[in-house]
This record gives sequence, C-alpha cells and structure tokens, in this order.
Amino acid sequence: MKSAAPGSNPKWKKKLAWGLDYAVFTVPALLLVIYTTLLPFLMNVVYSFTDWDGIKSQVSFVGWEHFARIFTRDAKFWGSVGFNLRFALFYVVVVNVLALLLATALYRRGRLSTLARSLFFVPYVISIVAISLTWRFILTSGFATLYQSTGWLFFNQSWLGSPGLAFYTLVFLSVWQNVGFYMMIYIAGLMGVPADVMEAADIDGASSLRAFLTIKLPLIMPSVTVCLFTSTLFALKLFDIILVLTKGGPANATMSVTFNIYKEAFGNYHYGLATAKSLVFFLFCTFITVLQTGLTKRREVEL
Amino acid sequence: MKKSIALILSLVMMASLLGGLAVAEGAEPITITYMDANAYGLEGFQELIAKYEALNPHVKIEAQNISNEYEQSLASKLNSGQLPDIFTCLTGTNAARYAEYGYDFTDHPILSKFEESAIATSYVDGRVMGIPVAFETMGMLYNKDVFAKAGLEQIPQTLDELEAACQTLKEQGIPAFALGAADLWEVAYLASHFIIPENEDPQVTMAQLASGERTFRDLKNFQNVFRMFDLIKEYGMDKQLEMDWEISENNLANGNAAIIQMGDWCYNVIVGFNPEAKIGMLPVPTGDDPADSFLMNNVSWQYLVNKDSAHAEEAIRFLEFLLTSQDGLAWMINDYGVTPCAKGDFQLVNTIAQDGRQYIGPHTRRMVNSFWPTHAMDLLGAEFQAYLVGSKTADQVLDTIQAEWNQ
Repeated sequence: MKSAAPGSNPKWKKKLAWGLDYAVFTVPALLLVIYTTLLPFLMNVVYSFTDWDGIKSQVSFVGWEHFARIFTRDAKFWGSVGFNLRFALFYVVVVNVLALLLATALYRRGRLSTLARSLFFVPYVISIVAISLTWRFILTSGFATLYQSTGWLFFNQSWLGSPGLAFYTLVFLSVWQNVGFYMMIYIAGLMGVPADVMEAADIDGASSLRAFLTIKLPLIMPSVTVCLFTSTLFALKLFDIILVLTKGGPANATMSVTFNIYKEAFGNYHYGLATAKSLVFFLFCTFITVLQTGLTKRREVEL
Repeated sequence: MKKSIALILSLVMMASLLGGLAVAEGAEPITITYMDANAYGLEGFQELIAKYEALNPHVKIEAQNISNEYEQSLASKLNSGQLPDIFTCLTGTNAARYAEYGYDFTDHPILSKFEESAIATSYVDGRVMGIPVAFETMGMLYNKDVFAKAGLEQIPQTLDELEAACQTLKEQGIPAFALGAADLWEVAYLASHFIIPENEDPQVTMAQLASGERTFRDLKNFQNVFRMFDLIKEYGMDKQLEMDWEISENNLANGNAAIIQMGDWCYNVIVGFNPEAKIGMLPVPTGDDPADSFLMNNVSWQYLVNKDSAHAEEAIRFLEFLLTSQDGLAWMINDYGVTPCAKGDFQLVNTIAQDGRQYIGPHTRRMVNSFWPTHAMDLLGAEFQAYLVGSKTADQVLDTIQAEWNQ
C-alpha cells in the first residue's frame, strides 16, 4: 500500500491503512489485557460488595460493610500497611543507593567489571522461591553449624524467629536479590552520559563528586525514575519471600498487605472482604506511585 | 505406493472401529476423578487403584494427591467447574462449606460399615454429608527413651508435674520442648487444648463463645495456657519460633528434645527421621487435676462425593473398597499408617496411634478446631507467638483473642 503512487489513495484510505497497521499490533495485546487484567479487576470490584466465601453458590450483597470494617476495625490490615511502608522506606533507599554506587564503580568496560556485573546480576535471574528456600536453610541450619565452629554470636541470632530481626533479614534478602537489576538500569543510564560533557567538566576542574552530582545524576534521572518506581512497587507488593520465609510471622511482624489479603481470601474464606482489601490497596499503591513518579519526572533534564 | 498407504490407513481405521465396538459390548467405561491432600503411602495407593481397576475393568480412577495448598486447589477446581467426583474436606466448618455440593449419604447403606462415633463427625444440619477417612489423635508426643534416660517413669498429668519433669530433664541437659512455633497451626492447636473447660462437647463451648454467653476469661483452664507457654519458653530449645513442624519432629525423633506438640499422623515422618525412635502420646496437662490432661481425637478429614457427578454410585463403591475392603484396610493401616473408621478391631502399625489408644475414654476429648471460626487458627497462633517472643502480655493476648474471635 505504501508503494502506491501518491494521489491514487484518498485520505481516508490512508488513515484506515495506518489504523489497521496499528491494530494488528495492539488489538491482540489489548484483548489479552482486557481478558486477564481488566475483567478480573471489574469482577473484583463487584465481589468486594458481597459476602462470598469463595465456595458457596448463594452470594448476597452487603453494601459498604467490608470497607467500613477495613477503615474502622481492622488493626491487622493497617499493621500490614505499616509494615509495607517501613519496608518500602528501607528497601527503596538501600537498594537504590547501593545500585547507584555499584553502577558508578562498574559502568566502564573491563574484564573485571563485566565479571562483577554478572555476579551481582545472578541472584536476580534465579527464582525468588528457590532463593528464599536456600536462604532459609542458610539462616537456620547453616548458621547453627557456623556458630558451633566459630562461636560468633552473630550466627546465633534468631534471624527469622524474632520480630525485629526478621524485618531486616527480609530487607537484606530483597536487596541482595534485586540490586543487580537496578544496577543494570543505572549502568545503561551512565553509559548514555556524553563523554564530551564529562571531559568539559574535567577541564573546568570539577571534582568527580561535583561532576557526579551536577552532571551525571541529573542526566540519568530517567533511570532514577524507573528504578524508584519499580522498587517502590516491589516493596509494596512483597509476597513470595514472605510466603516461603516467615509466613507473616513471628506474631504478624512481617505480615505484608498482599499476604494479609491472601490469608483473608484462602485461609479465612472471607473472599468478599479480601477483594475489598485488595481494592483499597490498589488505590493506595496507585496514589503512592503516581505521586512518586510525578516528583521524580519533574527533575528529569535534557541536554 | 500412495494407494497402498491409503489401503493400510483405512484398514487401521477399520480395526480401531471394531476395537471400539468390542469395548462397548461390556459395561460402559467411566472415569472417576479423585482428589485428596494425603502425602503418605502414595505408592501403595496407586497399587490399590490398579487393583480396583483390574477388578472393575470399566472403571478408571484419576487420582490427584495435593498435600500443599490443598484447600486453595479445591476451591479453584470448584470455581472453574472441575470439582472432582470424590474429594476430601476438613471435618466441621470446612466440610460444611462444601456440603451444598456434596452427595447426601443420610440413608445410604454404606454408613453401617463405619463406627458411629466416626459418622457423628459428618453431620451438617442433621444430614450425613461425608464419609470419614480416619481417626486421628492429637496432643503432645514424647520420646520414651529420653524420658527413661532422665529417669522419668511416670508421664506428667498436671502442670506442676510437667514443670517438675522439665526440671529433671534440664538437670540432664535435655531441652524439654521442641515446639514448631513457626507454624501458626502448631501454636494454635496446642492452645486449643485449654479451651474446653470440662469434658463437654466442644460444639457447645464454641457456640457459647460465638454468642458471647461465655468469654475466654470464663473458661476454666484457659488461663493455664500461659503457664504452658512459659514452660515451653523456659525449658524448650532455642529458636523455637523459627522451627517448623518438620524440624520439630526431627528433634523429637533424634532425642534432641523430649516433648513436642503433634498428632499421630506424623508417624511416617518420624520413622523416616529415626526408625529406632520410641515415641508415645502424652495427654496435654491443662490444669492441677489429672482429669484435665487429655488428648484430642477426631476424624480430621472426610470424603465428599460430588452430588452432580454422573457416577456418584460408582464413586461410593470405590470409597467402600478404599475404606472397608481387606485390601483397602491393609493399605490404610500399613502404608497410610492411620486408624481406620470402619468397624472392626485392628492392630495398628502406627505405634504412636496405638500408644494413644490407652487414653480413649476419660483422657480423650473431641478436637476443638473442627468447630472454631476459620480465622481462629491464625488468631490464636499469632497471639501466642507474640506472647512467646514477649511482645504481648497475657492480658493483652486475652483481650485481642476475645475482641477478634467473632469478627
């Protein structure tokens, strides 16, 4: 069609062809998204107003009851929101600072840096469930053996069995697993910083810290936006590590919102309440991430 | 060349058609779908199925054993319209949820083959909605060799005697407990012993707690649950809060600790850890009166038959074979390692269950957890974990349990 002589094609035909071209690529994906995400989401909204337990065939509407319960007398749910916020704060700061440091150290080409990059990236490739199981073994049996041979108190702490330590164990494991991914995004950003700009800064006598803060950091702001966004979402949606490592315990100390929702639906058979919780949580996540991307986007600059 | 291929193909098709006709002459072939949460004796189970299929050539059993996340799997099967012909449910609250999809056994002759006390656990609104799988007994388990080594000849029947036993064990350098406190259900099951005040029907207690007629502070022995957890904390192994049921059973089997909380269903796992281990059941002391030390006995699982199944009667015939025939009983006792609910006197291979039998009667009560609200397990589990780590006092725990029990 594109090769046809100009003028032989009326304008509407051109538009149609253009539209069809796009439709071929987008409609199948769109249909899939509607079927697998949008429809379940809308059904979720409907179920959040019912008393369905996940099993019975007779379902009746209960109005806003679940939402009233969530906002007035569900301390456990808000406890889990608190956990996620605390986790997000620690995780987002630590993982991004660490990833940025690693990226600055490793973004130049070299045999050693390629090796180091892959080493930091490997944990990200392995399934999170396998990693959690491995770490559970290390933290329990592994540390017990190490304590016997070294006598270091560090190895005798109950890293999963005491509420305070379990939190930091989870932060550490999540950071360890994901830092490679964020490092890669920062490396891509840093490699895009033009060499001539850096050279000019060097000639002007800028220290490397000054050059980093005033030139590199503003120029890699798009990477920062992506990293902050994905790491915040990861922290808010934390689930699989908890399922394998702590099951929300001890004493609900590591109960994340997603795990609380899962328990409510499949453990307590309060399906309606669980869908209501997930709706509240969805709005909460949307609010936080929109706010955050808005803030970081504003700081993005172009040369 | 092409012609000969076509000839061969058509011959093959003719033959298969004839073959099909030959099968149709006998009884119509049917497939029965089966699903349970069992993890033990599975090889023997497959042999049992093969035997049944050989005896009944028209029947094919498609069995799935899903021991992890079983309840979620069952719920998703139901909601995707694939409810199996035969499936298991936890007796009580859980089975009642599925009762509307279940076959009503109330007047079925198969019931006469089971102990009445077992059938009694299958009632939902006055109708028999399930077939009991097996009797199970829960309480504490103790390592007999460890007790003997420490010079303990009598099992403790009161909390004072338990503390004395803990002290004796401590002098020998043996931790008294290895509670799998990382698992909410273990903590909650242990606490559940302290809920039934006297030898009364737990259904009555649960109804009174639900209506608010009784509170947890009114229950005769419930305050003592804190003393039990104090003992576990003081005399138990380190890091019990990161110990799951498997590590807990391992510690008991290998004599690293003397007592755990568990049921007789763990026999196969214990034998796997240490075939030499001599393990007995220990009625849980819940007060100062020896009469208040008891095990809890129940049918934890029951079979439901899908009432919309096209082969409900055939499914029941298979259950009858599985639960009451010579072959089925041999599998249950030897491979699965449980106490059958069928009428008859059995010599159990499961020595833990056999040991528990001496307490049937005054020292055995019905399990509470069949009748409590579904969220009770997580509630009790997490609250007593909080007590164990010291982040909540006894009063705070009591207040939270009371406030959230009926939510």
